[in-house]
Amino acid sequence: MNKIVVEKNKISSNFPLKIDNFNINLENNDVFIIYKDSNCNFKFNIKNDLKIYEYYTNSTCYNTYNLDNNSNLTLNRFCFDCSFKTDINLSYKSNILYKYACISLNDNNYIINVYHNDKDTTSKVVNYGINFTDKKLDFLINSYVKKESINSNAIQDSKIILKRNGNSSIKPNLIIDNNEISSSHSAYIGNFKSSEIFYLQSRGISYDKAIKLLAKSFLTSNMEIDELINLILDDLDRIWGGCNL
Amino acid sequence: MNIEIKNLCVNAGEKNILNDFNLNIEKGTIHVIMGPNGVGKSTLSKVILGSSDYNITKGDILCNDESILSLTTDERAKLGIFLSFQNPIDIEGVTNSEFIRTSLNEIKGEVVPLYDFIKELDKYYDDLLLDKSMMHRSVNENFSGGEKHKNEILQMKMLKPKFIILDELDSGLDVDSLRIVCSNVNDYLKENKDVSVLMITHYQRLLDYIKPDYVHVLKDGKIVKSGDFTLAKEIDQYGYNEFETK
Repeated sequence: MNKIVVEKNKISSNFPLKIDNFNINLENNDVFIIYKDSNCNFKFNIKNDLKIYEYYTNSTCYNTYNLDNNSNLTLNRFCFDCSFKTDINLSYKSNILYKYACISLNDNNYIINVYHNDKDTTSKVVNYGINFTDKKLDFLINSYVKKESINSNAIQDSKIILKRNGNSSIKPNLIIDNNEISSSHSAYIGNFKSSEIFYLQSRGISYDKAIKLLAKSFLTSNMEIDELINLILDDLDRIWGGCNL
Repeated sequence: MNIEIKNLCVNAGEKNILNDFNLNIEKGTIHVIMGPNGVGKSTLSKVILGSSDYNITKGDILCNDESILSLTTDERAKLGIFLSFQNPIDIEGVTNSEFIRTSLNEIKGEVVPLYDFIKELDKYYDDLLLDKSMMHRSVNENFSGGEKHKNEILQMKMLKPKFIILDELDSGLDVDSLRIVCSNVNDYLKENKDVSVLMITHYQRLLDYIKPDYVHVLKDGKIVKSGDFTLAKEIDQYGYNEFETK
């Protein structure tokens, strides 16, 4: 798979990559991007069908994804303890399936804006986070549908699991200026379901192991590639090994 | 495994559910509890497993003459107590195979060799006529009612318990699926003669497949009548109204 690594704001890739004033054009070939210790502001111009997998650690980014007409983007992202902001612009008949998961240890906020700029556009935005401490994790999810964006679809699904008594918030906003679209949102903040924990315990799995199993599945179930999943599992192992959680 | 429930009183919030409930299940025996809706049959099954949704205000539950009230749910499962849930829940993201393997490792206290695990799991999928692709799907996700019950029995076969609670095993099952799950339960009991069973059901038809030694009627939080298989036929014919609390 094509791979881009952004480390301390220095970019390397295993394929020919052209960057023009922070603009990156991507089409056809899936790509895995790792951000470490970086503060970046890229504009990805997407053509045709594409999957992007991203892993963020100790980075603050404000990236924009511009989907060309008739483009389909699947974006899987995982963030270890960072805040960032994202804009997604959808052109005619373009679609985005966006799946995000994060682990939060400090105060973090996460903002995503999805702009349905034309008709026949679809966005499904799924955001999952686990707040492991007493700090704050905030999600702000905005879907904008313009007047001319008829036959569009804007779906949001957001969940934050609280491991302790940390303050968290989810603000799911659907800003719609059109009657001919469909949209929905759901938001959940709380603990893992007691019924799930009881079911796992009824099969001999201890409470701690049950929570770890649920956390692992919560964070990785939306992710599609092993390389990204393995990074997430390493982060989880590190947290459970090192902290009194 | 011998299970004895002594003078058990259970409530959920303000509501009393079980009221001086007594039952002795000796090893190798099959007991059935029948009763109208809402009398506490499923509550009993969850209380035996130690669900924190309920509060035991009096009495005891003994497993081989030792109280299990201080044990957590997973500790009770490790003793060999297994509950086949009436409505097994979905757990998104945890695959069936991962779930069972984690469970087996915990119960055995060691990592089960992968080859042996897959071989045994394969066989039981065949026994229960379950599609093997389900191994890699999330626990119970998009399973039909029948498939969920089969999945419960699959887990039972893998975990090899000594006391089995079958909570409304027949609910939502067509006649063919019912025959398959009961046949698998019976096979397990034939191979493990000391295993004791508590079945919870509304209807007599389950008992055509798994023959009980004792039938009990639960009403007003306690057993109001006990008998053999013929009691189930009496219930089927006359209903529960004739059974009054002593």
